Amino acid sequence: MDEAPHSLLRRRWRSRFIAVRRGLIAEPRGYLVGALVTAFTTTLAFNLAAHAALAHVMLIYLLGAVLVATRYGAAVSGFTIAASALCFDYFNIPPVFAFALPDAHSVLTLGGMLLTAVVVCVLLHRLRHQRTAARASEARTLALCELSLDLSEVSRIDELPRVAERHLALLFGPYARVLLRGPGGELAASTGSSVARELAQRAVAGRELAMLVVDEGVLAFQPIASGREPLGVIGVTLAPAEPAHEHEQRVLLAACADRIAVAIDRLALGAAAHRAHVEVEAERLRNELLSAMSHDLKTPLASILTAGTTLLSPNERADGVRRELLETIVEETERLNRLVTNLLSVTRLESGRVHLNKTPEALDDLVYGVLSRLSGRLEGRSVDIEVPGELPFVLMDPVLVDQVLVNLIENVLRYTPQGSPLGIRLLASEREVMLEVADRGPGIAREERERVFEKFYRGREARQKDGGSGLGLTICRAVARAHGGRIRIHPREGGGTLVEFALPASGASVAHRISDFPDQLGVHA
Amino acid sequence: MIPAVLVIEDELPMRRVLRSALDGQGYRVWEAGSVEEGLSAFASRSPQAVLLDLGLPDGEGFQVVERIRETSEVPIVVISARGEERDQVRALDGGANDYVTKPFREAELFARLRAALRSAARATRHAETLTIGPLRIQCFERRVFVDEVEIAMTPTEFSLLQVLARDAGRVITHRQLLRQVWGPTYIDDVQYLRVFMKQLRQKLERDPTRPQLLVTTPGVGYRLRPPE
Repeated sequence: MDEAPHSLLRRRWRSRFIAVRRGLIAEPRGYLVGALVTAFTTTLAFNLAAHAALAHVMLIYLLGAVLVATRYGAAVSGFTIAASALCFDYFNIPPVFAFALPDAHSVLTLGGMLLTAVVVCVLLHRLRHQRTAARASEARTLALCELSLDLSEVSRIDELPRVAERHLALLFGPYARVLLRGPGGELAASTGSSVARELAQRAVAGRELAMLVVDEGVLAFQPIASGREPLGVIGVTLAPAEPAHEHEQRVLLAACADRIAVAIDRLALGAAAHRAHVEVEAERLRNELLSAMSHDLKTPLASILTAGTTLLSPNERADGVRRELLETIVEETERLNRLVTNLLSVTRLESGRVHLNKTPEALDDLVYGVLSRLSGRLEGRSVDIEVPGELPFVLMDPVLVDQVLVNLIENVLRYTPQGSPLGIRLLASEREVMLEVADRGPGIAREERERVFEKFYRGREARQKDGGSGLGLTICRAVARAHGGRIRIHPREGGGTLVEFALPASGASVAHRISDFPDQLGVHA
Repeated sequence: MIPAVLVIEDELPMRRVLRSALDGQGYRVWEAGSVEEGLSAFASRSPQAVLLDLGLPDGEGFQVVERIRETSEVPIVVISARGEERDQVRALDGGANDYVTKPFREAELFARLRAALRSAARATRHAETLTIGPLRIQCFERRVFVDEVEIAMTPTEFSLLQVLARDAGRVITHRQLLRQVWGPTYIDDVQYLRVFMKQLRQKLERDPTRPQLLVTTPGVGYRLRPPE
């Protein structure tokens, strides 16, 4: 199975890190190993003493001491060298079974052995220390790399402390806190204790590492700095260790703080960029809206004002002219009223604060009501209605859905040729109740089928005609969405448009057969 | 007698228009611009009808409806700029006879006002036979005729039709219908209404898909509309 590169990385650095920590800690078992090795070399040397020169025998001890030094620290090595020297003197340098050094030759041999062992061991230790340092540095780099990787995936500032704390806990131990400063500069979230809080505040105020020796080790708080003001502070407990190692831990802590600062900066920049983008978009929409609105509002107002002032002027006018002017005032006022009503509806619906007054309604009832109200304007058109025998009640806001029906049918009246047919079909499934409004008009071009739902957008055909507000379908879609339903526009085979408006069927089993309802006497008159 | 109408409306231009329109139709007009003025004018003038705006400077029109209904059954027609159906329902349930939404045409206002005055007159007479367009209802015999052809009705259908017909021309809210036909425990069971209205339309309308007699007012109620 494929593993994400950084999780591989994580496993690798973790095992390294543990190994390095283990190597740096002195092991009591080393003394036992040193003693055993010495005992083994002593036995070997004692048995070989008859066949080999003293200098050769010395090499056996030397080998043992060096072997121990490759694995253990200075103390164990020193112990092994000392033990080997004593055994060499006691068992091999004549007189055997005595610590005496009778001549210059034996002093020289023992001294040579000691010197060689010490030099080799020091060299070995230095080498190993360098290797350890290199490994620690590698582990640190890997750990930081891992931290950066995870931080780069954080998309919200409030997720950042949790992610960073997880990494710090792996690096420094269970106490790990990332405290970000709130808008007022105060540290958000808890530090765990009042001592820690004070230390954290000191680190922020002083803009430098603040440390305090506690039972578990050294409590350390490092400010997360970027620019002038610290963005927050990270706190960990450093394990008690040798000074060199403590320095490494502090460097690591500072490096972590830097990575976190970078991540915070990135998030802040991203948020600012997003805000700026949203603002620009909102501004653009507002401008479009205002220019569309001022045109649509002012045109009828201009007609009304002109007609009114003409009527007021003292010139005598024929009755026909007066009537025409008055009709203009009435028609334009009605147009203005429609526009304002639609605008209010859109604003109300899009604010998301609209409260739906849902009641169980029969969609066919609403459709009939609308057809009846529009019957004057529907004259001369054939209206084909298809309603299933049993249509379930749907929970809906009847006023809003009524407006949708009016808008859909008015669109057909407005944008399709006089006398062309109108088809209305209701369909019910388990999940939804659907209304289809079909016409034989010019149809809506593919690229406009989505755009016609936008505020003030008018289709190519519609732009040449008058009277529409460019809000009808916007309202329809807002109503559909408010109900958890949908609206879509499809081309129709043989020309024309099919609008599909669906509302989710109410889950509650609503009775819809006459037999389910109490009649006063239960019998027909 | 020339009916006197009390207009309670705070907008001066609207009051001016209403006054000249009512004058033109031969009504006498009293005017008030607030809840307080309206109530004191109602007490001193005893008008035959009230035209009431809902948004008044010193309170809500609902209060006026409540206070008037404590002592009088005078027809009240609410005039409101709010499209909010909830307000209309509240005013109607509170005892208002009908409502018109601003902006409205003169003809619509007078149709509602006349209907309110008529039903007030009828309520005092308890007419035995109601005739609305092609519809004739004989209340005591519980028989219904459309164009002189008798239509069979279930008891519930008849009760529903009778409630609508007594106040023909006026919107009756769902709650009012449910309370009067089914009783107070059923006032939230709107689906009963839907089913029986469908039945009534099947029986009474020429074209049930274009109801002209039994008209739905979405979110508010039903109206039995007398022919123009």
